[in-house]
Amino acid sequence: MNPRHVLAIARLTLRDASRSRLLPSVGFLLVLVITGLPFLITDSGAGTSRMFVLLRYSMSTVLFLLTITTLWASCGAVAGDIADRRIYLVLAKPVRRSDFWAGKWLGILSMNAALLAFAGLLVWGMLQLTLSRLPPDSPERVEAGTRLLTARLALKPDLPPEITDRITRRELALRRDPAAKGQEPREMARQQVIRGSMIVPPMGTLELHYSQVPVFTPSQRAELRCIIQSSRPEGGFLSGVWRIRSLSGETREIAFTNRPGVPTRILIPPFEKPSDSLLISLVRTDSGKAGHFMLAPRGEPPELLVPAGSFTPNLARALLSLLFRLCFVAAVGVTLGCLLSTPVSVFSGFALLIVLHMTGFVTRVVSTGAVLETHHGEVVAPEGLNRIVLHILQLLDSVTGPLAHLDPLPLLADGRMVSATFALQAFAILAVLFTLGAALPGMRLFTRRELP
Amino acid sequence: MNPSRHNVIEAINLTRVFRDFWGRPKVRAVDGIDLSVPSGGIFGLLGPNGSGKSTTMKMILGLLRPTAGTLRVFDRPATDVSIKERIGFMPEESYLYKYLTATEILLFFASLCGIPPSARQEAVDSLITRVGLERARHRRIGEFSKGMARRVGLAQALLNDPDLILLDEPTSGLDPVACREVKDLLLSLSARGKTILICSHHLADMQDICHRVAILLDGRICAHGAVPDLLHDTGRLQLTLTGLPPEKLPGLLQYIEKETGASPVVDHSGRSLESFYVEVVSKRNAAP
Ligand SMILES: Nc1ncnc2c1ncn2[C@@H]1O[C@H](COP(=O)(O)OP(=O)(O)OP(=O)(O)O)[C@@H](O)[C@H]1O
Ligand SMILES: [Mg+2]
Repeated sequence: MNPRHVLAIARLTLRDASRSRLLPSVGFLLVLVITGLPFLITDSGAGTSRMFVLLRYSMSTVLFLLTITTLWASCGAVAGDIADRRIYLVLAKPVRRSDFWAGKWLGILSMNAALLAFAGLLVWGMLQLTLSRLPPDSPERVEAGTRLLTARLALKPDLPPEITDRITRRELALRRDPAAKGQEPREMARQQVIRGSMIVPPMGTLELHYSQVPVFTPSQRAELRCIIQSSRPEGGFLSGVWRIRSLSGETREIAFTNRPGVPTRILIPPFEKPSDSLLISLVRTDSGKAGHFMLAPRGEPPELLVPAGSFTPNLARALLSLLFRLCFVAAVGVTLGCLLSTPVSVFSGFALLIVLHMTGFVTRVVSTGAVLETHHGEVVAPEGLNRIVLHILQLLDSVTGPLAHLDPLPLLADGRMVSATFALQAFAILAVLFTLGAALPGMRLFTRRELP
Repeated sequence: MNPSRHNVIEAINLTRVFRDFWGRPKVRAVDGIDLSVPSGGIFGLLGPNGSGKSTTMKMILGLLRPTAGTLRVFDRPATDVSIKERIGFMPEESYLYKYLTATEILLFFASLCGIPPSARQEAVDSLITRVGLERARHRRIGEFSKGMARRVGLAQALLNDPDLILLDEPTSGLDPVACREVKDLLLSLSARGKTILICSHHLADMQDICHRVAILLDGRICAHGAVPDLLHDTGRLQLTLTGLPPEKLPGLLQYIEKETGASPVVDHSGRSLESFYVEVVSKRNAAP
């Protein structure tokens, strides 16, 4: 491959695309989505909810728009060049087909990377603007700083020694008897153990110990998240006190009253001295009518979200992960455009993206035999044709499953850390898909293709 | 000595069959031609529509692969990318990026040809002048007339100072003056030792400039050779007299008939429309 040719073709593609109407119209749509959506969706008119809409819905729409633009532009740039015979002139020069592929890819990608950067900057600017409008020291501002414009780590409680011991014994048993492995995967066993341990009887107390808490400044706050269910359906309200104790002995208490099953989100008041471990106890103060409290009904123990970084680099890492995704989409588009006509390549590109998006969901539907996931995780065995379909879907899902976890937007909108590891993982998975799924086959097939 | 050393293009039994979706043969566009284009000189490929001229050119460029036969260009397979450094190609229609200006597109092709950045602008400027597009150099190709776009097409074919120039109908869409200029340009290139292969339907133009021609019909070569040899007619002679007083003509004709026994045909040869047009237009252009 000749980098000079690749760059020349990329520059030309970028210039040609930027002068067509595509770029201004996408830019206009992006501005519309970013500035308009927060005012359309939020009902309360509160600054924080506008910020949330910006981070969650505007960003998702931006990603959707840019995915479409990338696919459309990359298919069109290549298939259009072939259909309008412009490619004759390029290939009559000492240019390899792989140079042409790479140049087109780079050109389209840079256009969309510029659009993504523009959208990211606009979102960032809108967030800062909204933040600056909130009165200082108002609860809204604290909320924005704690829950949205931050990068938090999610900590799980350390398990009490006797439970850890039970898990180890279980794992040992599984290792000795491999037949048991298939029926009861390790993770399932582990969660059952955890679930069993998180029952709080009337007048009882539950202690959760979080260690390795990153140091954060007193102005920042940690947040505790959990869902409490009651063992009796007609239980009524659940009430109690969360008692949080730091290593230096400082204690904070927060009383709560909740309906069962409603997510609890508790902001922990700041401590004077930073502490790298916290002991959190749930003390029941209710009448006991609700029966047992059950924490972590789905096997997820109470989560402690702790500030661990600032928002701007987090946004940058999220945008970077999105860029990797666009790299892949552009590669798919260029490859399809090299082999098919514009409408056919655009159509198959969209079909492919939809399949990538939907397989996880469809696999679940087919494997459970119902559209809604059953609450208790019961699996109805599929029969006949369904079983074959299920196998195909599971195969697809093994490819697309990891992709589904690469979406940084839910993390971003929840003020969670989009870690460098996350971005790296996104890069690694998409790089493999890019190379094996799009670039290599694309260049190879295109080199062999005749251009009558 | 190996004859192919002298031939820039050497095709033996070259065949191209277009197939339909199911792989069934549809058209034999080129049907077993043997073609050798010697180095230097202008070679004309003639033939009616659909006779396989453009298909042959595309095979020479490696855009299409031959169905059968061998094709070597500069003694390499036609699909070899490196030979393109020595080839310039102007397709039968001007396929260009319509949002770019003439200068931008030529700079792009210059960088693909490997012209160093410092020399690019100069090379492009001199070619733009050569094809007469100075006034339109910063306009978008999408706004160009057909002939203007053809000129850009010609300019890009000459960017890398190629040794082999393939021109598919180079004069179509050009005005007569430009046509004349293109023909002069090709003659001067050929004088510099370049090999030029032209497809065209303009027989007068081809007769003006081609040294050798081949005529294709239904994908087969039905005549080929050097132009003077093909057109040589020993039994015919043309005599041109300027300034002959009209009253002397009958006596002259009688004399010729008595001496040779053949009756001569008198034809008042006027000027050709081409030479008249060129004169008028160049006078108008020269006027301030
Ligand atoms: N892509 C193609 N698919 C099928 N048939 C084709 C294709 N390209 C050319 N042909 C056929 O091959 C034959 C030769 O076409 P070609 O374009 O080489 O003719 P040509 O001599 O250049 O004609 P013209 O003088 O009109 O330019 C024609 O019958 C044409 O229909
Ligand atoms: Mg033709």
